[in-house]
Amino acid sequence: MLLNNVGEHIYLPGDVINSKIQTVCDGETVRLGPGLSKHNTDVTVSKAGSLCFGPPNTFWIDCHQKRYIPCKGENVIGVISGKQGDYYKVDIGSSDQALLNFLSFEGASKRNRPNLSPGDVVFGKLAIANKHMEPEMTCVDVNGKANGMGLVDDKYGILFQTSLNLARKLLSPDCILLPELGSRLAFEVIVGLNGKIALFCKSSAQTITLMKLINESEYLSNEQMLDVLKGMFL
Amino acid sequence: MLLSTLSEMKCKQNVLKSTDGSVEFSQGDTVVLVGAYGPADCKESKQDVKEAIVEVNFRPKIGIPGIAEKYLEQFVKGVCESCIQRSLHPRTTFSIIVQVIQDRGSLLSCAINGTSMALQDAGISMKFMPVAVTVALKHKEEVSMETDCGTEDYDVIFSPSLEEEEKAFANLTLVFDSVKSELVSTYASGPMTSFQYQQCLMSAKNVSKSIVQFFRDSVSKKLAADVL
Repeated sequence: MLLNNVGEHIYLPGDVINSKIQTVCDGETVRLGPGLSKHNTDVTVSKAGSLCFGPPNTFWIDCHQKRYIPCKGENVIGVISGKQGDYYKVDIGSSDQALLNFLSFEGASKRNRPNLSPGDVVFGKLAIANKHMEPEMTCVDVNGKANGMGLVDDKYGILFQTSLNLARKLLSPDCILLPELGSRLAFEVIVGLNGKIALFCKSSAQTITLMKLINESEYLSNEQMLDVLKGMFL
Repeated sequence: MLLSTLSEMKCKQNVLKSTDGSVEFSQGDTVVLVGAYGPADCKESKQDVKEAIVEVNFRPKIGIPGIAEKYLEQFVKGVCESCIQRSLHPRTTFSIIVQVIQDRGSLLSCAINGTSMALQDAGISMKFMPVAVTVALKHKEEVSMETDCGTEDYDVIFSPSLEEEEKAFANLTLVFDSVKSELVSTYASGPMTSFQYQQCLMSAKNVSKSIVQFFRDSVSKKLAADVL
């Protein structure tokens, strides 16, 4: 259940939403997500956008944003920008560069180091994200397996930057764009929550067309996307 | 005393591609283009370990920024520092660039309202949105025949044009917060009595509410296109 979508539910920074929360979850403990904070007894909005509700008790503000703010556990795409001691420096689009340890790759050991150079693209998970520290990435899961993460071979693809909103929208199960495209065309795509998208198709022309399509889909509804797809693939 | 109406406002969000937030904001004939970046990387020598720093740059229509621009920058910077939740992003910087496209009076309030929308467009966490109103106090040109307004021999003009600003004996720019309409800061020039100041304050406070409503409407318009 989403509480958004209508003009009357737009909130501006500073608005107090106690009464709204009480009508949905009265007397229960609630969780406040991005864009909401608690001041004394008031819940205030800090970003402009629509209020969303995720059962059982989570509230957040859905807001259009381009700048990535690291958050623990999110999957991101980054570009290696250099080496520092036992770490790679990775540009993930946030204010600080992320650190990526040589050992946080599948099968890596002190002897067997991964060989990455500046400009390489990696897909990983944020293991540490804290406002006081540099974020730290890892390319293995808890079992030490790559699980799809690691170096992204970008020789035949393209890496481009979109708004965070679009990245979240593409990853949401409600959005039909990527599954519908997949049923019509063979391609590979990696969407990072930091708004970076890596796209691989059979030919450059297809890659460019798909990139344009993804960028344009930001303000399209599911029905409009279907119309566009029907126009493209007959 | 005459209370003229506020000049028409227009706002176009997300106009520049590579900024985090950008707005083309116009108030009457005055137009500014504001770009906001942040939280961004910051030189170690400038960093503050407790909170983010704010940088404001004014670019005049022609030439390089001078003392007048620097003065406005400092004022806008103070307003931004009070509205952004800076402690959420220590060791970073928020950078705001205001390009003046056309100055036909009330530049400062236009710049602050534009900055406010640009910060909002960038999705920066804020305590409130600053709302600015420029007021000019002008002597009546000719004494009207029906002097029913008694001793008051001046007009209060909102968002004055350049000519009106020049003719006025006092100019005031008042900045309010969008939540409780409390005064955030004041920029005043020219002599005025405390009664006149109070009068401007009260009427500007009322006007600021309609600007907040304008902000709300433009945000809704932007987000209405964004529904899945």
